[in-house]
Amino acid sequence: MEKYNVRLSREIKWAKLFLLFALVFLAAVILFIPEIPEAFKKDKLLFLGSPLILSPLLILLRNHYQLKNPKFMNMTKRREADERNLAIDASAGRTGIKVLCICYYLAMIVSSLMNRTVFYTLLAVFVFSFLVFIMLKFVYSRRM
Amino acid sequence: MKTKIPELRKANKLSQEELALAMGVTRQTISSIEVGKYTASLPLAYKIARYFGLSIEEVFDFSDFEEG
Repeated sequence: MEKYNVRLSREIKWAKLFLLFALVFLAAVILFIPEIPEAFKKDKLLFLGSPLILSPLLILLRNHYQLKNPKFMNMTKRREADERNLAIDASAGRTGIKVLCICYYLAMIVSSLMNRTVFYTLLAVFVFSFLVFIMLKFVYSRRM
Repeated sequence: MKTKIPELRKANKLSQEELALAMGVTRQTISSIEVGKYTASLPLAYKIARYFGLSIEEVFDFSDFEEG
């Protein structure tokens, strides 16, 4: 089994790469796509962009802190590997997916009355997620 | 599922946190197993039983499963 600190270091590398990608992507959208309206640049892009920047930053900070504090790292490792926590996550995930599907369905109904592009985007995401789900079921059924 | 973990812990003067640390799980997991809210997996049940030098059947009560 892979050592936990190796995994943390690998996550730091990926977070740095993702952060760089997010910054380049946001800069490219703001600077090189002139047809984007100003309001979109100021408000919506900030809203869309912040998770791209915040999530790798949080991973970077958390993992660096864990690597510097072995006590905290051991506690986190124990919590992550704990079988009850894994069972709770699985149960919450199963319910969450059902709720997400219902929300997607409602969003598709609402968007179909307003905007065709949004409707087809939601539909494509829904179909793609369903295909990934089928594929993963096939992969895991072969592993277990 | 009923267990003898609380009695065994007290006999060995162990806290839930100490047992959890030795088993590599959280204190909440040990607590849930003790009160019967969560059923331990086979590897964890084996680890707990081995820790006290007993068999799984001596630590966990399987009578509920035998009836059904």
